[in-house]
Amino acid sequence: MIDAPSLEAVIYRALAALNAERPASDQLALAPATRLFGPGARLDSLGLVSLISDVETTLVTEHGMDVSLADDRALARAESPYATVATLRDYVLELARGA
Amino acid sequence: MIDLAQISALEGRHVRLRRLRPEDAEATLRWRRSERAALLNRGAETVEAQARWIASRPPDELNFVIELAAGGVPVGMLSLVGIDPANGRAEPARFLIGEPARVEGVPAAVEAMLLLYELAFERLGLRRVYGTVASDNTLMIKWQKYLGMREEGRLRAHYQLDGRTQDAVCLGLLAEEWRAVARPRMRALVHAGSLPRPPEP
Repeated sequence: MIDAPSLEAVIYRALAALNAERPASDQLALAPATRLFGPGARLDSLGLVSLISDVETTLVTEHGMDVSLADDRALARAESPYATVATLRDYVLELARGA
Repeated sequence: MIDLAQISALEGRHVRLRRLRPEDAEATLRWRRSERAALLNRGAETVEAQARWIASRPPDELNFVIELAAGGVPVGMLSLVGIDPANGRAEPARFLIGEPARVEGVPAAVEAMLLLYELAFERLGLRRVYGTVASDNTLMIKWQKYLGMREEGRLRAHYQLDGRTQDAVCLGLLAEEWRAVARPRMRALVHAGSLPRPPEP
């Protein structure tokens, strides 16, 4: 099963692809605490969908892990799984464990 | 089918879609001339021409301004055009977030599209929505596909945009795909935008 550092690397690669489309003054830091989506965050829903889509694609093609990061399980949560890099990482790990 | 003239607004949690009016000419023209709209078809050149264009929209179109539900600030536009009840189809079009800084962290774009699809499939009873995106607009193509659209073909050298000849990528979404794939994904993303951030570690 994929571990936390490998998963962070997958998310950072997706963030780097987003950064390539953003001005130099508006880059997203490749760090666990980087805010992604929700109040006070920097991504709009176009950016969030791009990030999630890239993460899902890399997980299935490079790690054989077929997960959906936006479905009824995400709807059932009390806190946003897309709030920061760390919450997204932990959410994917939770899905991978079948929790 | 319901009378399109009776549809004045679509209410969401984060955004509200209300009908486009000639008074929106200045804002919508500014949005259409922004760098963000470089991969859309060019529109009117003046505010007066834009107002005339808005006033002359045909009856088979629904043109909306996307407003933030909190405060009613206009942030973009979205349309459903070519509404064809006989064939059960229509085309989402003119989708543009004109005030990107105001929608950071807010699921404005995805909820606007969710409201438009709910109208198309659940209220108008359409079987299919479809459209084309310029091939250089890779973010929008990725966005539409993740939210349920399927690529159905490609029109070669179809657009001359942003100084380049580009293909048109043809995308479509059927009612059953909307209910099985698109709606759950969109609802999850809209819901996530409403949730509190976890406490800082």
